[in-house]
Amino acid sequence: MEWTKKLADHQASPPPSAWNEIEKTLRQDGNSLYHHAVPPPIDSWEAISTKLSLTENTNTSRAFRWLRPALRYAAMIVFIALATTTLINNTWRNALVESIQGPGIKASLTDTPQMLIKDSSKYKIPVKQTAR
Amino acid sequence: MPSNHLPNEHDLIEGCLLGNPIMQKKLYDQYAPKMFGICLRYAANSEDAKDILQDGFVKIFVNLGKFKGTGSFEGWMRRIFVNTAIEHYRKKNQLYAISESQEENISNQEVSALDALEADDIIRLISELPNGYRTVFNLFAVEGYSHREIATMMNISEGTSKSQYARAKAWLQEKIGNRNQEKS
Repeated sequence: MEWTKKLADHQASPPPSAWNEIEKTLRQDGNSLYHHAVPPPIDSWEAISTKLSLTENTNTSRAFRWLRPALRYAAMIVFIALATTTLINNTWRNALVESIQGPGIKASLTDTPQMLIKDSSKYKIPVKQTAR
Repeated sequence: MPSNHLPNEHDLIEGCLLGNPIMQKKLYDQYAPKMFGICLRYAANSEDAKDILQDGFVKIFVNLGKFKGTGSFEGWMRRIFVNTAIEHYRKKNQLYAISESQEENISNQEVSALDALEADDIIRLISELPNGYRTVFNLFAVEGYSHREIATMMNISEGTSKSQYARAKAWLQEKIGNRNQEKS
């Protein structure tokens, strides 16, 4: 393209005097351009303070910043507990019931009549009769 | 009777950190002219400069707690304004949008020696530069960043930074040449 040729020509040639003048001006008075100050528009402060109050209202109060992660962890724990309970198999459940309430309950929870008979006879508690 | 003396920098910062609106206004009054000068150099027009000024000051007040107090406060503010200006044009996706017709205007025109340029004249000329050229020119020629630093700040290669600066110079030469021709 035309401009690439022009640019290549420009870069090959030494910088023209105009650029030297710009650089001289940039360095004048301790680089005036760097410290150049311009009065801002009158309505700028109003806009800034409005934006600032909106930002402050949007942000969560610092005092309650801990609440969000705490709620997140609580929700995670509840989810894990529910998932475990749902996926748990019958064996484990039976073992749990047995350990808590004894074999009779376990037998009644299983749907096998044989087990019920067997278990009831096996675990029948003998009643000692005393003569009056 | 209210005192009119300016609070020192430390008091200003402390007041702003406590959310004191009077201190915020005083800090704004003290630094806004210098910061608006920066905004004008990086912006294509005064409306964009105004937007950058507002966003920059909001960032200053929101992030004031991050200022460690080890370096210059003004230097810290400057960096925030420069980054805000870069973000402003990155958001608009205009940082490198330079049309072919604009590129064709870059010429190898030799121009005669100039009369001393005023800062306002240079700012006006700089504001006419395409966005990418203007940002690199400001960062390199005015703020004094190296091409490597500019590459990191703008997420471009060092070579791109150098070529954008070279093109910015060529562009400015063209503009100054035209200005001289109009004068004579």
